[in-house]
Amino acid sequence: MVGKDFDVLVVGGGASGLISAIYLAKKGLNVGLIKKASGATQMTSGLFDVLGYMNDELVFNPIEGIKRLTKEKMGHPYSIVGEENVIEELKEATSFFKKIVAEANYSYEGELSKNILTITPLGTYKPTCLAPKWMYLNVLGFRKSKLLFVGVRNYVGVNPVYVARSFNSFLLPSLVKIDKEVEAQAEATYMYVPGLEEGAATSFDVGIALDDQENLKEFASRLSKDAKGVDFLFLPALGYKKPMENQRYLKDELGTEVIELPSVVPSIAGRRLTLALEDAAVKSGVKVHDACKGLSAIRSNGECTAIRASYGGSEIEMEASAFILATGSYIAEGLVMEKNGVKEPLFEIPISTPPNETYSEWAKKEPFPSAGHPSSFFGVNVDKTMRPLSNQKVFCDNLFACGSILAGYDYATEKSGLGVCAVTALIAAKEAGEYIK
Amino acid sequence: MSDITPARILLESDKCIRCGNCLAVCPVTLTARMNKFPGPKHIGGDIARPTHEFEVNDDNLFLCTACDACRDVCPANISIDEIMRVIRSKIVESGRFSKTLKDALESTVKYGNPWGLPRSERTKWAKGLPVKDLSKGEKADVLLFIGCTNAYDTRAQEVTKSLVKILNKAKVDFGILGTDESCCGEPVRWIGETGLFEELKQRNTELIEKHGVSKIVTMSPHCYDAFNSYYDLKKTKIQHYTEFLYELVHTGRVKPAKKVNMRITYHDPCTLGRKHKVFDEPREILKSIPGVDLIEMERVRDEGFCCGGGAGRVWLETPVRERLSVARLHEASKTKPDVVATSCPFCLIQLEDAVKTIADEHVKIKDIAEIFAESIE
Amino acid sequence: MEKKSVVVIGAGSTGAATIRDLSMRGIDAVLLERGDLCSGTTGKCHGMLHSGGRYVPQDKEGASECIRETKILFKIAPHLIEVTGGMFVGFEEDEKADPNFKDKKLQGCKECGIPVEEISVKKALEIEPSLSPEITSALWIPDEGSLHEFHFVCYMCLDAKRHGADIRPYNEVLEILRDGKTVTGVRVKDHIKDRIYEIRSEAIISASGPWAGKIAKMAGANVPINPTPGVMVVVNRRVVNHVINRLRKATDGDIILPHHTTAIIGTTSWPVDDPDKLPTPKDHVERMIKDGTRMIPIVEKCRLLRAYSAARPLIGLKDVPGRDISRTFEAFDHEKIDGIKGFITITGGKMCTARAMAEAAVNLACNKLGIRAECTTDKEPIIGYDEEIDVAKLSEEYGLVKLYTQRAVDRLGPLTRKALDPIKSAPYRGCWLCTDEFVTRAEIEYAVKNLWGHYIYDIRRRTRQSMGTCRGGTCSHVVAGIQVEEFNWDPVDVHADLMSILKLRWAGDKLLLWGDNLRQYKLNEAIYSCLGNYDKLGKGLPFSMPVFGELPW
Repeated sequence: MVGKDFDVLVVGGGASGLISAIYLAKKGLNVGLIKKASGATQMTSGLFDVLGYMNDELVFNPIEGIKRLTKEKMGHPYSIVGEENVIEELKEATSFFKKIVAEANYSYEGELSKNILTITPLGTYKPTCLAPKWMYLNVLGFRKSKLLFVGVRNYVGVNPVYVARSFNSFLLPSLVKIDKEVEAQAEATYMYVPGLEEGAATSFDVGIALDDQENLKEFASRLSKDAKGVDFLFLPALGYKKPMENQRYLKDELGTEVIELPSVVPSIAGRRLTLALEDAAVKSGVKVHDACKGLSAIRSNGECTAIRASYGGSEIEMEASAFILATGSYIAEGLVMEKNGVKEPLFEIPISTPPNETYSEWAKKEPFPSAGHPSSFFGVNVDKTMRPLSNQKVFCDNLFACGSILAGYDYATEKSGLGVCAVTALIAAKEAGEYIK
Repeated sequence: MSDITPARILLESDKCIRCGNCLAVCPVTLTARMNKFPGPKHIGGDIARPTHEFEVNDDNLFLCTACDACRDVCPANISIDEIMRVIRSKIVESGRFSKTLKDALESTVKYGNPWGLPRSERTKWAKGLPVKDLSKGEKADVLLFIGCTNAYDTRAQEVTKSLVKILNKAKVDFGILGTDESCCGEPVRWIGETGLFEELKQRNTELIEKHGVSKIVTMSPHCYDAFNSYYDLKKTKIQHYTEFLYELVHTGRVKPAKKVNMRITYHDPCTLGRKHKVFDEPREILKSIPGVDLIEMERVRDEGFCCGGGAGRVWLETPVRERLSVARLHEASKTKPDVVATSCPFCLIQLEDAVKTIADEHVKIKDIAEIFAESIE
Repeated sequence: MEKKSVVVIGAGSTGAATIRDLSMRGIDAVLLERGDLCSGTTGKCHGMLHSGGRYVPQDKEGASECIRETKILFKIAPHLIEVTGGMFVGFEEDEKADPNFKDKKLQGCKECGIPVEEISVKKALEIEPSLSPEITSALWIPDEGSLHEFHFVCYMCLDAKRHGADIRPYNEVLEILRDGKTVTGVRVKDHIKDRIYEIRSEAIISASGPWAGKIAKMAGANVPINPTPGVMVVVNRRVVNHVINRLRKATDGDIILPHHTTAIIGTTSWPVDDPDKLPTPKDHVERMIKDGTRMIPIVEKCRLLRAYSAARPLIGLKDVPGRDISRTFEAFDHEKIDGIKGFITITGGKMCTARAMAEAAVNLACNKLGIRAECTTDKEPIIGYDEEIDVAKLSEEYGLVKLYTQRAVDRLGPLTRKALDPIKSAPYRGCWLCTDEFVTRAEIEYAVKNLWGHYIYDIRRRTRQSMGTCRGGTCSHVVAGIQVEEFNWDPVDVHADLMSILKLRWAGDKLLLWGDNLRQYKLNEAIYSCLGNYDKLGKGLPFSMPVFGELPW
């Protein structure tokens, strides 16, 4: 295989890698992207978090929340982007995101200034900012609402009885504390999806079965009795490739709002997001290399000149003028936690971890501390141009980093995952573009 | 690849964190469903931690086609196919596996091919055709490695004859190993018969070195994979015929002239496409043929959906509802093609079987070589 | 006022064996356990089925006990044990330290009636390929294996129940009632129903392991018990298929054995005062990894799942080092020792000698009660099979892949049909939710209905759900759903319970939080923190299970 030349080579095919690659390709640059597999992006629930909590307090307006954050949390990627710029950049990043996924027939809804509270399949609620159209629902808007959670009998991943009863006794009281006008009552039922009556099903089986028009029709008629008088009907999966169309159909047939619950792994919404972004990348002209694993970076005179990667059974070298590192966090091994510290395996950017303190710190904590687990805060430190730093100096002039590989934040507890990915991807792309000039 | 011990391979399953990314893409899980098939999540993660020596003496493990879709979405790139193979090798040792697979293996031992036909008939397809036979002392630049299916299966033989016609038209100096040719061993290796694979590898390697050819062109992507990934043929360049034919077309050595008027959708063979990234050459060949209207179906290239023939599965009986080939044909049919084209003998016979199964009169299955051959005088 | 002839305190292996024996002799008895069945030392041992070889030559009495009882277990509990055979392997450094040790071991085993033979290093490596090629000597002992501890205790309780006994987990003895120096009964707290009540009894047998001292004090008696914990490390795969012991004087880290789908390396030894305060010292963990790697080199490359400690109930003088104390058991007649009538302690020993321990205790109790009843526990199977289990046939009947049925049979043995039959009328019960250990919904429901599985953590003990690689990440919320749907748990309590079990899993996992274990945690964080928002919503939730001593973080 012959190595190819690019203006920018993006390493990592998750949300941040794809967004930065698409941005640059749309600006007319020759962009290559390599991804070794699918990582955490495919495990996301479909929800696009920007900032859900600030120091354990619910954030209702992410813009306000981030303004506070940039004053209090200096090492956070949002702060590094800069308190003057971050809101504008986030606006642009989220618009851009909505635009590119819409091109792949995958529409997201929501505004940067407003968080919604969504119900999760675990019987809890969480704040988020954007969501696919068929998932977008703010439970704070319930007014004397009748909810029906529908489970698929042979899909164990979502238990509608659990979610419904949990809503009534666990969630509702705390929702009422936030907004005393909230009023709702949840019930549950189980169905079999036509065409999927036998054996155990995955969420993909459910989605694929509902994408079939005949199955969908039959399913709707099975639901019609229980759906009478219901304001919101929840399903674990609305379809695989056609959730929006299926939502419209069911809404028309049943006369009720139909909502897909955020996905729990294995995530159908995560898979859809991955495919939508990849689709957008290919359409924009990004040369995507699947199953292409970065092995080492070749540098000379402080600049990165090429990446050595495995592809299709052999090794290739890919040269580019600039590189964007978007290999993610621990799950897909963009960062590796060894016994004695964290490593970044591709460029070997030094990651500082406090020695030995780690063990005793962790040993004291509960598994899901609300301030975030120490391991989340490790990562690549960057300056405001998204260039990785090593001992506070720029590691490499033509190398940029974005996404969950970055240090200084815990996406899981503050609910900021895709928001950080998108805005840092945008900045990294812009800066890489500048550098090329 | 060959120096990784079974113990090291099984260790890879330590990396599995049960995310289930693999379940989204495994063609067997999507058709046979989880009650029937343990699925890559379990092969990669759990089966490698057995409590019983041969606890997985379950035919269902043999439903995997080693299509590699799972590894390509696994965040740790776990070699699920290799884990599956190591476990199969233990089951094969125990002797408790399907009769049809046993027959295929026994035939390979006896006749050098899994189709149960004598070695002497390996060149029957070549009767009357101008083909150099290196086993008879003739010499050539290029070794055309036919492969068992293209040699023995009557449908696939048509493809072989087409390719020979093309190569002769392009005045390529090529030869075959004749009845000396033995199975490359790729399916044998996936079924888990490691010992037999090593024997075949040695035998074929000696032959290839004996004839001193600088280039091998294989008809089957599986032979291509064997030579590239599991043999040690350092001095020889190995190409699939689509790569070779692409070069011939590109350099003007052969020009498809006659219009064929076909609406074609191309099915990427997993081993050629996903595994070795040969996506463009087959398409460029098709596009170079006048009158070809090439339409892509939904899951193509890296997303390709397996025909169900790999890793020995071509010799397993599958209920209609679980046949990957049928699912794939339905998908291909959505583009309303005249022809579903492919470039692999297993894909060919699987898809032909699917056509018969669903009794579709509208679509034909053809190998790229056949279509190209129609277009040259 | 409730009346029972005998109250048994402690549902570990000893207590369960005791109540089984009592009930089989027709004695009206109740088993009280403050936590879940098998939640004490038995629940945290490495499940070794002992030939007794380990106690040779230093404790021949303990060793002889072991081999005798192990052979009885072969007869009465074949479905609860995995007889793998075992080896003693020695290295150059062991031979240097004591060149005669091997002969002492061989001789001692013969004297104790433990079958043993010396084998060549080559043979040893053939039997167990993952052994270090540096071993210099090996002994083969056929009568070793793995005893499935949770099921051992559970089955004995089931058997006892069949014979009329009353099994009460989560019933904690708060006070032992006395009339002068005669024990008259117990005051109990039922943690689940949240009520306190009393039981009158003629005799009390304390089978409370390392807590025997605490319980005895309640009766005004004394038991010289030295809780002596040791650390164990769980390997994420069955790196060995046989019990591997180190051929040297018993010390730390000289054993690694298979346990279901894992292997366990053990162990260390240090005395503590309070068996409810057991740390898991980091350096012990490191040493176990090192020692395990010495015998089985691939261990250092394997994913390690968890580390934990459990307290041995050693009887003896305080200043005798733990390793030198006999592992034999003792039945304390407190009337003779302390003048307290009606109170017996049975402690010491090993899990595999539980039956003999029970026999001794119940003989003593019968004396006190003036009952003549023969012990038949060595003859009757602990819930035997009433049909041949054909995995292929069952798989077809239930529509399950053979592998899943096999695992269910491994766990349930003779109870397999009872547990899985509901699948026939409701196929969705055949959907499995634990993908590490292949646990179906039917099995979860059976554990709750028939095996005293109350909290999700208890269900885990019976079904092995969450004991696999995912550490409870992908499956626990599904079990939580079943608790609400099938068993009408209040969702708030279930959320609390779910958080509690994740915390308990964490207590062992956090000690090995690097590499793939950390990646696993990151996925679980994505599920429970990012999606589930439990880091915020879980904060106000109380710990669901009764806590004795400290929470392990």
